[in-house]
Amino acid sequence: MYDAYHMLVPTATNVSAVSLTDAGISDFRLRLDAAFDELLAQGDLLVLADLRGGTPFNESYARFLKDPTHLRLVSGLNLPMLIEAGLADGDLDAVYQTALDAGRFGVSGTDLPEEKGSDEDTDLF
Amino acid sequence: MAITFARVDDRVIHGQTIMRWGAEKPCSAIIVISDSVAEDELRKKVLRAAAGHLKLGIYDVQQGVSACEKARESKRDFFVISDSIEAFAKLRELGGDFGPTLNVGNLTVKRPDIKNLGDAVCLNDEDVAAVDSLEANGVEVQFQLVPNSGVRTWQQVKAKYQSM
Repeated sequence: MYDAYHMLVPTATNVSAVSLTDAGISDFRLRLDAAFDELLAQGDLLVLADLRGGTPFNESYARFLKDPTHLRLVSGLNLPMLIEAGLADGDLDAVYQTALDAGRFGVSGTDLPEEKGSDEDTDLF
Repeated sequence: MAITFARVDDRVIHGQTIMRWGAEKPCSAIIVISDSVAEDELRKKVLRAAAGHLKLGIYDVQQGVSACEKARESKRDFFVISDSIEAFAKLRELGGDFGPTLNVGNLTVKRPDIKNLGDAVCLNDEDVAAVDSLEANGVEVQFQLVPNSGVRTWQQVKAKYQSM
């Protein structure tokens, strides 16, 4: 997803990724803490975690409890959420809200189109 | 002028890309101008789904001339998109007015004798002739994938093409 984000926003430098790997939870915890230390030293931080209750979320939540002023945490990471939050302007709470909204808006179902669709929508011009 | 953006992208309507450009330039409707798309019922259905809440009109190049005219007089803000540079060149030759600049963003579908110019742009001799025609007809052609990637001019891209 990190690669997909950079495909759409090639010049972005404001997003970092830390992944849980086969090396296990303690290795992940070390890398995550290092990332938190480095990034929080630069300013406020929004964390997008995939699964609420999963290790990345839980470890991030523990950090949030230590530093609730400069950190926000969202679960249910999807690509629309990452793109919109990554490009959002504003303070931490505004970016946090953008992530929540874009994440929800990014989930939708699909319907079959009308069989005889027109080439021009009604009231196009 | 209610045409805010004209673009060549062989995916035509690509969700997040349109959202990105839509954040930079106002857009409430999309006009697709392409002979191949206009006769492809399946592709039209897919584009309709990709357009989501945006109003959409799909035309061949001949119909595109009047579609551009109506768009320029409309109160809506339009993106005009085609899957080929040739379509815009022909549109301009027929008197279609889509504005003073044309953005070329994504052109990677396999075609005969293409050269890869980087940033998701592959051109062949026909494309070069089409851009030359557009520039000769007063259209500035800019090569840029997404709003915050760099803009390349035709002069830069053509020089690279000729050196390959």
